[in-house]
Amino acid sequence: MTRSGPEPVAGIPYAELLGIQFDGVQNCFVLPFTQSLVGNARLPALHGGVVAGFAETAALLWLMRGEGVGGIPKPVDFAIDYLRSAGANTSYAQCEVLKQGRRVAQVVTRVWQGDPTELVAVARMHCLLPADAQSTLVCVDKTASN
Amino acid sequence: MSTPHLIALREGFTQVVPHSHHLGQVIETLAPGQGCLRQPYRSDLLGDAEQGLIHSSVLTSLMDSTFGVTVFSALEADESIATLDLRMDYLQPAKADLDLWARARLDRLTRQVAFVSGTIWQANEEQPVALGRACFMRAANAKSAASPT
Repeated sequence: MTRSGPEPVAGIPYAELLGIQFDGVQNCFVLPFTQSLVGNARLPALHGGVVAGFAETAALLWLMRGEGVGGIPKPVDFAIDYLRSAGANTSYAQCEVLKQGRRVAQVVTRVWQGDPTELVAVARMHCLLPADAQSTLVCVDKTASN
Repeated sequence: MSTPHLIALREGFTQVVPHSHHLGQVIETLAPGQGCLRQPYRSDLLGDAEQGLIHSSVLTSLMDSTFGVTVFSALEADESIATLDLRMDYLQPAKADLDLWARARLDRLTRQVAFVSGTIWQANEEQPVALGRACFMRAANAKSAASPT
């Protein structure tokens, strides 16, 4: 049996709460619409925190899929620009690691709904990589011995 | 700016904002340009269940709600807003079993833009777990022809 289509992301309670899925074929994250994700019932539009949470969780999960990242990266900061209102539709997110150093990585997430060229939001995030505890200690030791 | 407006805002929060209701966010205090919200702890908010850490996006969501309510509190009742951008700094991990508190203030309100900033803490407001900042466009619902000059 070949796998196809999006599959739920397991192991992170908050990701399960939102209902985030990963589509291994399209290599993107998927967030199916549910009423509980609405931030403005009049429009209706997704909650800004949902769009941010989707982009942020996607960035973390994307890093965890990468090589040499064992465990959950530690978020340092996160910023999101909202380009369009996100309606009552399925959302998609694609991530790109623009820089992965020894200690820190920078990830950009693009979020869209119907048309991939009409972005709903673009976000960026810095994370400390889990394996960096030792290298941090080395840096501290060097400073101390100077 | 009237008290009825703030009362309506508080009462309408859970009905008009389903996601906040879903997460269990509550408005603790609200005054024009100042808001304080609380996110009661729940185990489904964890990002790292093994280490007992709340997912950072829960903080982002709480900050976003707090900013929205804070901006609304300073506007006329029928004005709508659109978030332009939002930035979070995660100063320290948010731990399991403790509620999250968020306090925001309106730094400046111009004819078109609202600037807000805020903090999130758990046990001690003096030791925040996160800082946030955002800009909102005002009158997102207004027709350009009808908007006041």
